[in-house]
Amino acid sequence: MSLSLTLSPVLDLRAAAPLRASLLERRGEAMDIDASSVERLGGLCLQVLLSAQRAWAEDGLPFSISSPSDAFREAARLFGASGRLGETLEAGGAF
Amino acid sequence: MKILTVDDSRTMRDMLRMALVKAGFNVVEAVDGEHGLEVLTANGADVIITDINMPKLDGFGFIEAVREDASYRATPILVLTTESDPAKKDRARRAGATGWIVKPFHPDKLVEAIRRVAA
Amino acid sequence: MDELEQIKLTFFQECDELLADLESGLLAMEAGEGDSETVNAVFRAVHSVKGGAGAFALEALVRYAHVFETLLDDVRSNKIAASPELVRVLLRAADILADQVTAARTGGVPDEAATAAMVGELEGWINGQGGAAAPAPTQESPAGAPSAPTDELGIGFTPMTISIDDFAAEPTAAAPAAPTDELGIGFTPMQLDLAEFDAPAEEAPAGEQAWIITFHPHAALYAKANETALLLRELERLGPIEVSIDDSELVSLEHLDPESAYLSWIVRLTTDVAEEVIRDVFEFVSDDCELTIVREGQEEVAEPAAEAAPVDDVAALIAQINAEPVVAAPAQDEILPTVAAAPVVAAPAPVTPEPVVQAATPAAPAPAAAKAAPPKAAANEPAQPQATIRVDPERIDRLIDLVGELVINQAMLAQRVGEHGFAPSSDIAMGLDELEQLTRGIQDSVMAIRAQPVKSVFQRMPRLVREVANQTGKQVRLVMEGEGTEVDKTVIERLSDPITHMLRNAIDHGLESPEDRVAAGKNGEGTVRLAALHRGGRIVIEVQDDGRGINRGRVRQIAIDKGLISPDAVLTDEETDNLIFLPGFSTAAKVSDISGRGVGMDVVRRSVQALGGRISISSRPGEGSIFTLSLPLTLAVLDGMVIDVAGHTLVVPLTAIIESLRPKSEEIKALGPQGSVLAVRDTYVPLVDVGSVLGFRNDLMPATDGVVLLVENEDGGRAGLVADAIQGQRQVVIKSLESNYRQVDGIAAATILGDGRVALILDVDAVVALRRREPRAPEPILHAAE
Repeated sequence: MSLSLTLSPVLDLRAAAPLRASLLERRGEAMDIDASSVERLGGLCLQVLLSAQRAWAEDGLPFSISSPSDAFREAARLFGASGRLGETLEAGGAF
Repeated sequence: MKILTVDDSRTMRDMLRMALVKAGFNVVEAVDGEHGLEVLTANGADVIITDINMPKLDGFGFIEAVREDASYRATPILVLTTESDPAKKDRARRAGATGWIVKPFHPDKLVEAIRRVAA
Repeated sequence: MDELEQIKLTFFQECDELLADLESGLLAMEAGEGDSETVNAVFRAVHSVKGGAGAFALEALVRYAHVFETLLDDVRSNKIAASPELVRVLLRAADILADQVTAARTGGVPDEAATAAMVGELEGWINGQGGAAAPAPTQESPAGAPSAPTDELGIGFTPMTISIDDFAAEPTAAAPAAPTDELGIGFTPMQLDLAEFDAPAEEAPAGEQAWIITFHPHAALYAKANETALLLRELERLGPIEVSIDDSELVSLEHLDPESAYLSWIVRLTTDVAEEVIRDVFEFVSDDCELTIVREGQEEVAEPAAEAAPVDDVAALIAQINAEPVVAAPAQDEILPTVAAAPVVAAPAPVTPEPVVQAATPAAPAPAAAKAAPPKAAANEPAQPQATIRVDPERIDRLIDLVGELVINQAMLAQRVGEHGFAPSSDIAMGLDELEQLTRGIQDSVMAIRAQPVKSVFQRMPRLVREVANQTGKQVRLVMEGEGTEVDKTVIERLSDPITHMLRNAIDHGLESPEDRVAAGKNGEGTVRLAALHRGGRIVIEVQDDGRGINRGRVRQIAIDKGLISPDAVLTDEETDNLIFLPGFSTAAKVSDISGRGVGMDVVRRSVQALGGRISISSRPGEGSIFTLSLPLTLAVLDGMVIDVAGHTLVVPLTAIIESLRPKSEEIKALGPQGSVLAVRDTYVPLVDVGSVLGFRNDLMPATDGVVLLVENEDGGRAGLVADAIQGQRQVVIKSLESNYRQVDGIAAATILGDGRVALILDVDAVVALRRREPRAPEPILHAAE
């Protein structure tokens, strides 16, 4: 049973620190991130997500992002991160 | 999207409002920095456009005050300036301005500046 | 009205306010009361005029304001001291600015010589030469030269201009013909026209080109609320992009500072726009990131970029892109190294979620509503933000007219009810009383909407005073009080002329020359006080000087010489002072340029009286004089006494009436062939037969047959108006006779009474004056009476 974390709609400068803290709290458990309500994804939160993805991979635990919103997909595409997050998304079976 | 314009010149506020409303934005207005903080607290804003030379609280002080409020750290602020004076622009940037609009502005240029800083 | 035209009107309104602020600030500086905020406010005023003028491409105004502003900026930053000499120059410069604004408003041409001279003077100060070395007006000043000011206007748009160099570097592109157009476009945006503008992305095609952009944001970029995602989106507007992330600097989650920037991006952009346009996307963030933009295949010659990122690194990054085919836009499938040969996707990405300017409806209701939302937005006075609504004055005038009709209608109703014999205590009569009170309340409230502070008139006076002081060689300090006093718009418009006259008179005739003043032990600089106040339901304007006062002996002699009074007349000091208002009186031995041209105080008084106003003067020898002008608060309604005269119904303004009398025959004494006087307590007042003065009847009516209204005119003189009967007291709505018919001597205006009849409103002083003139200059209207 993986832990679920729902991303808040606006992932800007202000959201980066809380996002990192939430992820750190759940370290060591399988992670399923719900990105369905994301309206905006900024560079700072992107790097938190990428760093977390790396950490979970090092731990050998599943890390997935499920039901991404259109805005999340579009941002990932613009950032050139679709591939990277895409693997994760595929792993979660929702992309 | 809601845009707060802060300018002591009624003409400039009207010009901004006309261009912004035409572009489909909602507009709230304030007449100086102090008033700008009040209106921001009462109404919120997605983007702020502010003049620099204003009575009571000038643009620099206003930007600093906005950035000190945790809720508005990520709110884009564009400064209006007629000066090509780089020192003024730099000072606004150090205070936390996101970008700038040089007066007199063309409506398209205004919209372009907003697009560059706002989702 | 076109929205832009509307804003232009607002601009000129605002200019008036700014010019007033400018002047009061400079006057405070002159008086030594200015602090740094005063100087700032003065600077801001000129700055705002310039800003607005720039928006409307009022270039002459912008040019002049720019020079003025530059000098003020130097004063503000203490580069130049605000010496009294300089402040006097600034005051004159402010006057010229006002002229420029007026010229811009009316489309007229300002005095170019005066402007050029002032520009020269201002520049003299800017260049540290003070007032002494001002260049001659004929010399071409930079303000007249096109280069400097155009920069001021045009610089904002230069980033949009396509660099010619870039075209030159690409001889294959269709560049050679383009530059002029491109340059032209760079300047057109100054003309604020929403409809005619081509987006910069639609420039002439310069040939497709692939660019490699490496971008490493700093933490400061995000801290200022800039966002990489938006920059990438903007790049995509220029052409298809392929983006890859460089996460080589990314640290572990434990060590990650959420507000530091670890990621960087490499973007391959295929576009036909110039490098300048690409660079513009990063305009706001250029100090907060590392950025390189190079043509694909020319990575080695990368100019400033090479410093930030060594060539090897760039190559490595490129290699990384190639190795890692992380595709950005799903629609794109062209292969990397063959960009130049891939003309498929030439247009900017169609994915443009930007708001479309032209397509939006001009009057979007939702934003308009949102605009009204902030509690204190759109204030009249920037200093005191408060909620205001701007309303077309015509709508208010219409409302006032309608309320006027309501007043008349209510009066008619009351009259009918009275005719039907309802008792005052009946329900209907009481209901009518309430209706009358409500009607009055509505009327007062509506009039309050149109009330304006007299500031708009007062603010024109300091300039007048300076000019008159200059012409007369006198030193004058103007003190203004009560500028916030409110009065109906109809009165405001009529205040300017009398005030102008009184001020001129006070300086020209009232104040002594500086030498005489000093000789008399006074300050060489005279003081003129202009004050407005409310008193007894009227507005009172006082103009007071501390000059020599009226020379009563001389005034009396002139009045005798001109036959205005008899040599043995016994007059109080006040009566003597007020002789100057008599027609044909002029105290100046030679008619001066200032007060003269044949227009004496009598004309001023006549025009004031026509408005239901009074003017008087009192004086203390050696200490000065004070003019007092009082006017009703509105010219829209009037409290009057309705009288019958020879079958006509007339209205006498209540303010003029002291009492009404039924004279006994023993109280009336004949005086001269036509006149008679009435004994009122211990004095005699002349009787005026209104009916004959106005030509309603040929013969004089015996005063004992009618009623006498004791009236007081402006100089305090009294007269008795003889009427057939009094109908009663009533509030009436004034209809201008001038605008509906023509000016008639002795008649101020007309009104419509409760029964629907038209009644004339008497101009009391004029009627009395008509009688006084009668023996000397009989007018046709009086002819029958003789």
